[in-house]
Amino acid sequence: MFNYLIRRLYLLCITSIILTIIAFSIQHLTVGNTLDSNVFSQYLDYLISISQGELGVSALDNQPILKTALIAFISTLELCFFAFIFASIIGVPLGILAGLERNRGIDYSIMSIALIGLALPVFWVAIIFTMLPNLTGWVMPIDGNISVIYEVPMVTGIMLIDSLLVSEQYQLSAFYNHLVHIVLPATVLAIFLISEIIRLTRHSITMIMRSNYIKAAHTKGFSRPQIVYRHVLKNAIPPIIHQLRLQISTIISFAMAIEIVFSYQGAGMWLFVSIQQGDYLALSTAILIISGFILILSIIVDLLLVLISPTKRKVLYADQ
Amino acid sequence: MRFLPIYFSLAFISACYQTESTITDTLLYCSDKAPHSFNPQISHDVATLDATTHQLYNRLVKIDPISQRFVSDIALRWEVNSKKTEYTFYLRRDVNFHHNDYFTPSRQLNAEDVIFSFDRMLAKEHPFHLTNVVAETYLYNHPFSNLVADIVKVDDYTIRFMLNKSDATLLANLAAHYAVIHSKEYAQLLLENDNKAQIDYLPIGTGPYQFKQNSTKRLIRFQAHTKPWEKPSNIKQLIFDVTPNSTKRYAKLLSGECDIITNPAPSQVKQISKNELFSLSSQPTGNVALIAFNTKSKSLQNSDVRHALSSAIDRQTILDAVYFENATAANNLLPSNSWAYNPRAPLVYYTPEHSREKLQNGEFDFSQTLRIVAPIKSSIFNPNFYKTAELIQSNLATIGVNTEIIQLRNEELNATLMAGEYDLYLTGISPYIKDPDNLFRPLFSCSSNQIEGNTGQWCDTKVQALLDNTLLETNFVQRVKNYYQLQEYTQDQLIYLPIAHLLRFDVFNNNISGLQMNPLTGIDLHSVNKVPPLTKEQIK
Amino acid sequence: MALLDVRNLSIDILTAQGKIRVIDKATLNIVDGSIHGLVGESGSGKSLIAKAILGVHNENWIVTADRMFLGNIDLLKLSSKERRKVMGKEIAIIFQNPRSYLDPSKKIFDQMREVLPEGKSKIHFLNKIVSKSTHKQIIKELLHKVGVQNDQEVVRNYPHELSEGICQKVMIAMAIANNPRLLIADEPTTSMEAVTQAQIFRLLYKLNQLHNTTILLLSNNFGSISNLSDYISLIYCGQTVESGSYKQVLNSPMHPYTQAMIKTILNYDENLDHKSQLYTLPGSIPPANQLPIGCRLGPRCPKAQRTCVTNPTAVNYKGHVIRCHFPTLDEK
Repeated sequence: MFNYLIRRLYLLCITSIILTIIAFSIQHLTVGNTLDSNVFSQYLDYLISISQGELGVSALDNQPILKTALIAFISTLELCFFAFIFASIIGVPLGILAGLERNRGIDYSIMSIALIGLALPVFWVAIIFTMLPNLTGWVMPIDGNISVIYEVPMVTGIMLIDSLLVSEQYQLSAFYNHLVHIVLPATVLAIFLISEIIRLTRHSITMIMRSNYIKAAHTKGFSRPQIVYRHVLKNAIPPIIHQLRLQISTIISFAMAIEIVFSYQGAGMWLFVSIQQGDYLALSTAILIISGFILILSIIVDLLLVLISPTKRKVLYADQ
Repeated sequence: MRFLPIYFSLAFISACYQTESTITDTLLYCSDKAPHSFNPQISHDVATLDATTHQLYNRLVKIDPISQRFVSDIALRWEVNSKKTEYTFYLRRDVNFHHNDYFTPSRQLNAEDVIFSFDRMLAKEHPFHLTNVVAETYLYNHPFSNLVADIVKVDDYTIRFMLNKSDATLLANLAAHYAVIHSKEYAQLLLENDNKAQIDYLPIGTGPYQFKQNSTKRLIRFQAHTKPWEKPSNIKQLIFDVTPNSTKRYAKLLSGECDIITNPAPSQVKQISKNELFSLSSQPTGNVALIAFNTKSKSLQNSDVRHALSSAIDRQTILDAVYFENATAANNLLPSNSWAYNPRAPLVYYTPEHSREKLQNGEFDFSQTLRIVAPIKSSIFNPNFYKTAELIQSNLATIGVNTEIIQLRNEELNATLMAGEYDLYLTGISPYIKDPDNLFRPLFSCSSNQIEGNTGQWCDTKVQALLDNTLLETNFVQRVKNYYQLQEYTQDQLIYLPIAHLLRFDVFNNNISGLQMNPLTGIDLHSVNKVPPLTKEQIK
Repeated sequence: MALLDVRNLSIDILTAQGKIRVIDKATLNIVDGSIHGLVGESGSGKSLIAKAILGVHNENWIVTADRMFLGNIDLLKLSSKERRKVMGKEIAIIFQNPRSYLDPSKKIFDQMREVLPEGKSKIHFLNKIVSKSTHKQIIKELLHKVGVQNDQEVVRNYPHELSEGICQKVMIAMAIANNPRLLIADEPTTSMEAVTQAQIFRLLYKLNQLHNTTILLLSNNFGSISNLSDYISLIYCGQTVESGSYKQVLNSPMHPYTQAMIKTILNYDENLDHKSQLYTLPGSIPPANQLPIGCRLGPRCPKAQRTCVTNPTAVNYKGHVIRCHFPTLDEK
């Protein structure tokens, strides 16, 4: 297990070096360079400053850019997290149903729903959803992550926690208001996640239903719900998680596009505003932070898979 | 499956959500641009005016919206000497400055503050004269600085303006947006802390709302003045939310996240006016969009040619296609509600066949190509310069005149104007004060160059004399006569062809009352009253 | 007394080319308490028969039979719920490649607990904790019964950590947990090495002897089951060609196919020439979409003649059943 971890960390190192090269070249080309030293020494200086945590100062508000970027990105993650929970709650049961009733009516109708998520562009759906409150009469906010009436200081970046911190002033109304603001953007993101999850779940379930141990379970006289609950579910999860791990970057980029439409104060909005106003340092910072996060998350998910799925452990040992 | 109830219950929670429109002591105003600064002395864009003139500051006098007369603001009363060269103002004694986390006033407003505020615009030795001032120095002090020679303090609550020459327009100038009163004490404090620039970005004034320090560029927060000297406002918290996208702005109005929006998309105005829940307010702004004929260019020196070209341009189509409903047709440079408007000045009609004849009779050289110059960026005069130019081009092509469209950016545009390398120029004029002199002088005066407004490059002793005399004229009737004459003459010469008088649109929720809109100085939210909104069922 | 009585079982599969009759009037008669070997080459349909008996076939198979009785229970007339009950209690089946038939994400302990008699359909949360120790004891006994000595280690492991032999023994343990009347073993040792094979066969023999479990042993290898089974049936291409007691079939094979099979058993006492060709029937098993009509051995049979295009009827000579037009009758 430990050796596996070390191996993954080696890979992480190589990828992060490539990442810093990309971020450095963007910064070099846009923000400017000192012409008195050559590119390599500038690159080394850049690496040293990154490792100390100083990525520079934003041109817009003269604050250290790392802090702003982290706070913005955590908001995005908050949105992704909510969307993920919504999507799992809806998508996993639907996917299981589709996988079990393969090639029947229910399967086709569920897959049509899943195709919607593939076919529609993200920003279009988001824009339609901003008009939704007006069309349906359902009163929902479409802008920002909390109403402008509440003055909530960005302490941690996770608005849920920040809005609880001002509870002496507003009781719980700020927290509640934030929850309501999350619903629409999270629903839009969840639509796309749902189609992903339905497809992955259905595929995984189908593969497992064809496997031998399910046949054996049949012969032991279990009823289908029992088999699904006891054997199928636990074995279906690892492939799904593995595939989702590859989709994390897509999900984050969708989330950023949705944020721009809903003016939700996350990494997407921050990047958009920075680029509009000419602060290109945000680009390289965003690359470092977002890609770095995705890398680390991949490793964590891998470790998680190894923990929960005994078969993956076999892969580990076989390598030794 | 058994988690579905959780999701639905979350959705139901949001059904109990009440929008901001139900909170009656907070007002949300959604504008389309962020203000350049918070001092209307140096920034003249609409967003700054909206945010500051009536909200943060007071002036010596203001114009009553109903009677259109000058009423007192900070100045209780005033006296004018017989030669109209000295104006004496007596100030109120109970005016408090804003008191917030970055400034605590130790005294009330007195003459020192007034003198400080005006001196900043006039006197070059003033410590704050050059602070934050960008290249538009022309706009900084031009109308005012030529007028006022000196401001004298008579006593703590009395000041006297000494004018260069006899002038009737001082009051109009003092009611304009740039005549706001700052706090000298605050300026001193900033000077000591070596933080002069802050005076325009963390403002202190005397108006009904005071600035909150935690505002950002996109979100400006005001709270009600803690010690107001006028009637306190019903709104305790005022928030300016900058939403550049016009569809989004309207959507926010519909979803209750904005109470008032400004500048809706022109194509949506008709739709908005049909909605029963909202009221659409349209105000003429005094801004005129026009086509300037370069009278110094070879082909356009003859006024008949200019007439012919003007009658070939279908202005109604331009109004419909480019402005939708955001403007009214203009035949005259002045708006029809101005006291100097001459209804009998010669009009221009759309007669393309006639123009062709006229041009042929006048031996116009059809082989040449006229240059139509326009800015690239859309401005308050025109949401789409290119479309306008295209329409003009096709109109002129039907009578056989060749044209080419050239769009330029700022610096190149200024260079081309100064060099005179243009035949037609798409522009507009935006007067600051209600005096017609403010409209005509930049267009026709010999001392005004192309960048300052005289893109027709017109210089005529007759017009100049009319302008200068009327400025000093004290007899009102004579002034009207003079301006009538001016209009007849200039419209006969057709140096400028007016296209549209621009309107300003604001949309607000029906539960808001007391909104005042002054086209020259911006929106006034002081007396706004907000009641809980009616639901759709209650309206029916 | 016949435990399993299957007569004229036919299975049709609907494919894109039409209905294919994969099993053609197969007959199987298993005596209670015996080991019955069903021998046939790969692809002859043995597993299909087993699945049909159990009822775990796909829905697009059409299963018809004159009789399919397990003791007194008519298997054809059962609803799916009752079928499941029968499957759990009366019949058990073990498979080839046992490791893939065990759930890879669960420890052996949990998997064995599932099939234990009392807890079968009700492993509720509370029951789980309360009866854990009793279950432990039962499982330990079961594993000892099948010959797994280090049961503590085995129950803690996952299937992919155990060898094939142990897995097969675990599967057998799970199969006999409910004391089934019939144990179907579908080529249980085909992929194992000889030592493990011998262990498994010994185990099956012991089960049969001590607990009177009837075993239906499917195999593709005549030699491996030869000294194990009491009765043997041979199946070729979905048709049962010969069946009878072990002595009958081995000493006096009547069907040409049986004779060929017996000849293939290598007897190392004889002198085999170096690199000489071993005996087989010419040709190979026909693919499913080109099945010959009538007796399916026809094209390959050394004794084939014109009449072989019709289906031979079954003839019973004192328990030795044969379906051939031209059997070798040495005794009447």
